[in-house]
Amino acid sequence: MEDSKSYLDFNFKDIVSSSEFWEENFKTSFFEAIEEYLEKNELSRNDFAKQIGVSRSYISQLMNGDSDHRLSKLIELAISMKKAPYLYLKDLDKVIENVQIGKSINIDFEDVERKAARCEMLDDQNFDKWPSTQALSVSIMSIEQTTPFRPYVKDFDSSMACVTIVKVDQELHKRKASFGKIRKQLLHDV
Amino acid sequence: MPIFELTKNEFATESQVQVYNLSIDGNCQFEAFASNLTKETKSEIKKISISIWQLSANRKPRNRNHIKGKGLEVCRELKTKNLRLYYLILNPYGLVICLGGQKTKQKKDIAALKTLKNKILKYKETHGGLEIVS
Repeated sequence: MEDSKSYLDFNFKDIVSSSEFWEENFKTSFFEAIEEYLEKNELSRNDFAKQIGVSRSYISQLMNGDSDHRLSKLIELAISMKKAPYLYLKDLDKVIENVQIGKSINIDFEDVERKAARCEMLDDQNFDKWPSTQALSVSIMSIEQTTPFRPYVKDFDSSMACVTIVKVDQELHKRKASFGKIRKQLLHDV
Repeated sequence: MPIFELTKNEFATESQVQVYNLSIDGNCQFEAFASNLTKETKSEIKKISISIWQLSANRKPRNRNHIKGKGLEVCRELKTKNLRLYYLILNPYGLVICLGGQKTKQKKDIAALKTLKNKILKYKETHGGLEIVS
């Protein structure tokens, strides 16, 4: 793939390092959340504006415009959609590192939550009940901690701090005894 | 008939949706668009590049629009104050950036997009697909 610096004066790494990128993504998250809320509740932008006591143009500006909205207003808006506005700050150097090695920098927080919830399944008591093809994602803190799981690790995503462990029928059954230890260590680490 | 090929867009780094640039006889349409911008519109290409990344992450860029009109059902645009970037939803590939232009030449560009879309579909049918080149 050709580096865009040959025809533009920036490349993707420059974009990810710019405030414009994160600001646009933040605004897009709000745009997506409002769209989802309107659709789910069968509301028009006008209905929504009335519901939260702002003008319709404010909603339009928020969804499509470039204005720099007040943080307090954005939080108020999230609350009115019954959403808790979490903030996650990730080390920018690590994000750029991921860009350089071609890894994803997008974080789907709902997916991360789903994976964390499935961590509860890491229980050797119900291990026999796993379907043979079941994959299990486990949140962990660092790549070093995946070492005991290497035989089972299908995929490691450092941006998500997650591993996907796949049940390998025969081999894993043989190692079931040691799996209990792995589980204990994992739960301890998490 | 010209040769149509696809190259992966550099800003589409996520894997959820594939975003390609269309090349016509070896000339990349996105590159041609991006390298011929005026001083006034040069800053706007950054916003478009961010939107391309969002598309590849299966996000919904705020500046994305469906293009209305008969025969344009698979056509979309990314817009900024003065620029428009037109792309197609092309199965099984994903999104294909076909054309870029100025807001002031929208009508002419959309007509060109429609013609181009028909040519691409015909090429795809007669050649069994479009080649993805790196």
